[in-house]
Amino acid sequence: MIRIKIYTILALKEVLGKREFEVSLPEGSTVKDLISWMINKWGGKLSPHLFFPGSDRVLPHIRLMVNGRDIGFLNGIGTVLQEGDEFLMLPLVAGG
Amino acid sequence: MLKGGYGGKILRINLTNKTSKEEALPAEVARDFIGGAGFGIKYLFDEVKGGTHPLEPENKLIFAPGPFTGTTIPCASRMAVTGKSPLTGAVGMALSGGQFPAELKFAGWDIVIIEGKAEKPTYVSIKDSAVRFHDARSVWGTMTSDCQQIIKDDLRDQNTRVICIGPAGEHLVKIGCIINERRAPGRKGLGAVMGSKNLKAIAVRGSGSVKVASQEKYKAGRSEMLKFMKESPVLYSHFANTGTPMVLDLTAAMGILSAKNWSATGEFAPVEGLGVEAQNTRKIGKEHCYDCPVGCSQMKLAMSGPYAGILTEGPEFETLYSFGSGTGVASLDAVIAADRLSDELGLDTMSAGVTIAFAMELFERGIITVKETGGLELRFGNDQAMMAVLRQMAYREGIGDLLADGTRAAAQKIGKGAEKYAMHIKGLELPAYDVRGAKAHGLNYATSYTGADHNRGYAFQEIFGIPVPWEVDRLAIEGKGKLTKWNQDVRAATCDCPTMCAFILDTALPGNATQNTATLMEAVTGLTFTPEEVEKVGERLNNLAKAFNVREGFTRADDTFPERLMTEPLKAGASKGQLISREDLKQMLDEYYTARGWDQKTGVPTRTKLAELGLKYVADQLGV
Repeated sequence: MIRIKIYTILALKEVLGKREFEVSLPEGSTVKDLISWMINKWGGKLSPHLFFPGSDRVLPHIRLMVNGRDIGFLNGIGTVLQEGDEFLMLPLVAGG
Repeated sequence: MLKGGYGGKILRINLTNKTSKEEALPAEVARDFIGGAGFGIKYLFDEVKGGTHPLEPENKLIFAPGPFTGTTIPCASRMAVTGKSPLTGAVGMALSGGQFPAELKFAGWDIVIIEGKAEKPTYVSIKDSAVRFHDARSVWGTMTSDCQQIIKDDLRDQNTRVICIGPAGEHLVKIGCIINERRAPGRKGLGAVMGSKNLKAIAVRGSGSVKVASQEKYKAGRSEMLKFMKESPVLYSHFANTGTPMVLDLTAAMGILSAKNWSATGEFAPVEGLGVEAQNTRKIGKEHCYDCPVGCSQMKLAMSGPYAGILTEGPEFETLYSFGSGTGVASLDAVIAADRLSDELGLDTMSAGVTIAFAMELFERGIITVKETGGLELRFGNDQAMMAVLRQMAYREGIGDLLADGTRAAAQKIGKGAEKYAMHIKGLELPAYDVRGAKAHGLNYATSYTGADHNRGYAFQEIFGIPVPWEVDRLAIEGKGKLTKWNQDVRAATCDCPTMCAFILDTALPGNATQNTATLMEAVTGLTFTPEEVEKVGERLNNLAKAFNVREGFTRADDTFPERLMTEPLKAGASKGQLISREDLKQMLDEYYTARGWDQKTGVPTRTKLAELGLKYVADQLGV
């Protein structure tokens, strides 16, 4: 098993109930596996914040990062997670 | 022919001889620069000679709203204030929203140019085309909220709109700002320029309205913009309720919320103390700029300790950094109090907080001691010491006098290696984003014509993950030169010139900003633009502003970072290990100058580029 640290903010944090926590997943797990694990745990509460209705396609304004790098510049949802990785889930924010 | 949007008039006020005159706004200036910052920089370059001392009467202050200001186009009641900055010696341009910009348009003015220096403290009132000069000795020394109220009473008009300086501007504090109700064109020390002219305030009242060229196109264009705003997944649903503080939660998560004078980014991230959840415990209402349906500005009331009962509009994200994470203060009530006190004293919250954080690091390192601080334990996290120094800065008392002109000047006076800890670029203190983890955002800091200014080319691709004009890896170096040019030109053309709120365009219309500006320009003014021509306006502005700085002696060597960013990798958080090395900076600058068509070796605009933008006379002046 590998341990992954999850970190999220704002509306997503409201759904998950905490800003950061750790999960254990089987070795070789990908971002897709991690998301499946979360959907399994939070189900209908989390899905509308992450996916297009009735689909497993991630909404374009949701950012997923592994160790600070957007998964679009890694291997997308197929990115393989390693022991100690930090996974960020960020909703769209405005201001500045 | 200007069919709408513009009043068609420039007001020139000479304080030296107490005269004013009206000039026609040249149609070609409207076409080439649109308004706002474009107008300000055009008249600054043309009328303030190279080498002018920023605090001498020859410097000018130029107030310019945009063609949409005063219409019902949403989020357009903004104005640019432009002059030569006493803090940087470069272009000083700052924007502000609120009600004043619309009122200036109702009075009929596209630009107000303040010249000379009054013999005695003065305030100026503008009522439509009537300009009066008032003795301001009775308000000299007042805090900004009292000043505004006294002037309204004096004019017997509670609906007049007043901008003014506080004690900081009067004492020529180079991080002094102009206060506009509870808002501010805050940065670059323009409050000191106003103070140097003995100008305490400007009051404006207008009875007119802003015409539009085509009602039909105006209605369609406005509806289209409102539709984009409604469709935004964040604007009304979240941003309208939280305002800019939500960026604190975001940047902390990304490991780029600068902390303790940029020495502890990723290690000290006071989300619990200063983030959105904490903000909600202090929120008592919100404010809207003229005709803004969003109302991002939040009213907060401090409720604990020595700060209980202090009300402020804000603090905005940048202030939560400057008086919060930057100084190691995790108490929201302390930041609320510092925000309000800065507004009353007329201090730029950003430069003030960063300068205090700089002094705190010097104290922690023993470079300054209680001897210099007058007994204050000026350590990170000491909010009461921060409040004391803040007040001293505005009055140039004690250590406040040493710090009143920002980090660059203070470091020069202190010596002993203090410059290493002075977090500025071209003399302007750094904004909140630790750009070691957001490289294009950093390149914009390094190349912005106003110094370290996040707003001149905000890399929303890196900070918010918006994939416009393309998807961007925030940690990559390659491609950031081209991206920064795009960010700076589009921001200038679609926000700083028209003048529109960047918060709206970034999140509601990031892919349509130039088209939106083109559509609204035709509807409101009758001037037709393609989206590419809109972007060209931004490029023209950035070239002219750069030319002003080149004329002042700025070189490629000034487009750089404080040493810490290039030598100390981030120690913790989601951007751990990141820095921008000297080689990274060189690569990004080479790419940036090439994208701009500037001389890569010197960073100076070429004659070819300036001529292409209709700025041949600028090339002649620069001798390129």
